[in-house]
Amino acid sequence: MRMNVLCTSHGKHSDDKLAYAMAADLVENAANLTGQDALDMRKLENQLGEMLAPHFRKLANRENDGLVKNGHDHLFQPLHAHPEHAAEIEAEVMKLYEASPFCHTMDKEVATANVHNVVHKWVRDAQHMHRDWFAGHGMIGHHIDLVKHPDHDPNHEHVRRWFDLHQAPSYDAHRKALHEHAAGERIA
Amino acid sequence: MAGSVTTNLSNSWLAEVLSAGHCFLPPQSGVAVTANTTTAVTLGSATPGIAVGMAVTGTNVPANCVVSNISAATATSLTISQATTGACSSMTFTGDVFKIALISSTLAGNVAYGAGGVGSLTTNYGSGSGTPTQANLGTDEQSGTGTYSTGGLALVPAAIAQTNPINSAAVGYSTTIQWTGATINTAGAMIYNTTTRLTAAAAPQNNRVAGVFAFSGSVVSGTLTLTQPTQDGHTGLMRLSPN
Repeated sequence: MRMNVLCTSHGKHSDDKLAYAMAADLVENAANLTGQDALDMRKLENQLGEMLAPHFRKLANRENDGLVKNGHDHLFQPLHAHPEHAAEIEAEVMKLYEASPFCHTMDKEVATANVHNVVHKWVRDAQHMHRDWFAGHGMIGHHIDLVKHPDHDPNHEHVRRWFDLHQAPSYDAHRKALHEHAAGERIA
Repeated sequence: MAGSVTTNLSNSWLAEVLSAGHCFLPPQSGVAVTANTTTAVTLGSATPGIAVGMAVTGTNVPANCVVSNISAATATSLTISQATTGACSSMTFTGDVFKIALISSTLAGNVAYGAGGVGSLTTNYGSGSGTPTQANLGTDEQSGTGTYSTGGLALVPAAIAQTNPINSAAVGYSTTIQWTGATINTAGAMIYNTTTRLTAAAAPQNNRVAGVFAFSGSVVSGTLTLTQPTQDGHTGLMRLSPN
């Protein structure tokens, strides 16, 4: 039960950092291997990182475009990972995995399920990061190239709901925010 | 005295898990229902994962309403503790709300200690006893900065995983554990249950500590993200496993 920590001073995690951190998560057994297996696993990790970086760039562009276009309303996009983009990444991860020397070491069904969970976790977290920087600080952009969104209002209803959901001050506030986000209805 | 953090689940949590003291069911959000000025609720379709005691939220649902009974005879009938004040077509059923609070790297106590001494109640493992709560963290919590606020972040449980191996069960959270625009220097984190579910010999009865997790990280006006381990029988944050 080890928590991995990702730190970035002065801004958001970069696309490259997210890509290589996710690649490390996907091949977390690499550290336990020795010899040729360890080398092959590191190669796979690097291939995954290179493949994933443009995806996190694409994700960042999508989130930033949404925030510029829709402002506060973008915070009410679904909380889960963008389904089509996540499926695209999953397919590319599996393609690299199946071309690697490890493709026969794990049952394909188990490998597919593991990849699905990791991809959805990282895509969701990255989406959340961009929305959180906007909600909490009014900032949009990439990594340390952040600019203030001209229309950001820290007291906007959607900003307050975002923090009711993610930084819930109370049990009631949290479950109320959950219901309102899921049902799209307001509770007095 | 400077302190340190050791990853462990508290003794009291182990006992509470076997005493209906924690509900790790994920929320069932926006469930289609039929209810109108009554405690009787008809679900639009059979919905697994709702338990007696889960909180109920929705339009015209009074505050502090919970599921009080589930019909044994039908798959879609249940009773809630208070009548709705009008028509309700959608409800959300919520299990316990856990939170994760960061522990400052400059902690004065010793949250790794288990059998007495400074901070002994905070994690309460080894030979420790009692029921530690988040209040025991006291001034050893990371101070509020950026999007980090005192008490930490609410966690939404994910569906219980039974994989790797199949004869295990692991808890995980679907929440992104992340703080932005923050200046943080942390030695670890505490997960605790904000929901009052068990009586106790003395207050408080909420904010019971589930576990403490050691790591280190620091950011300056940046982003700190905690990535949970794979939710399975080998590495899950909280798990019942033969391994």
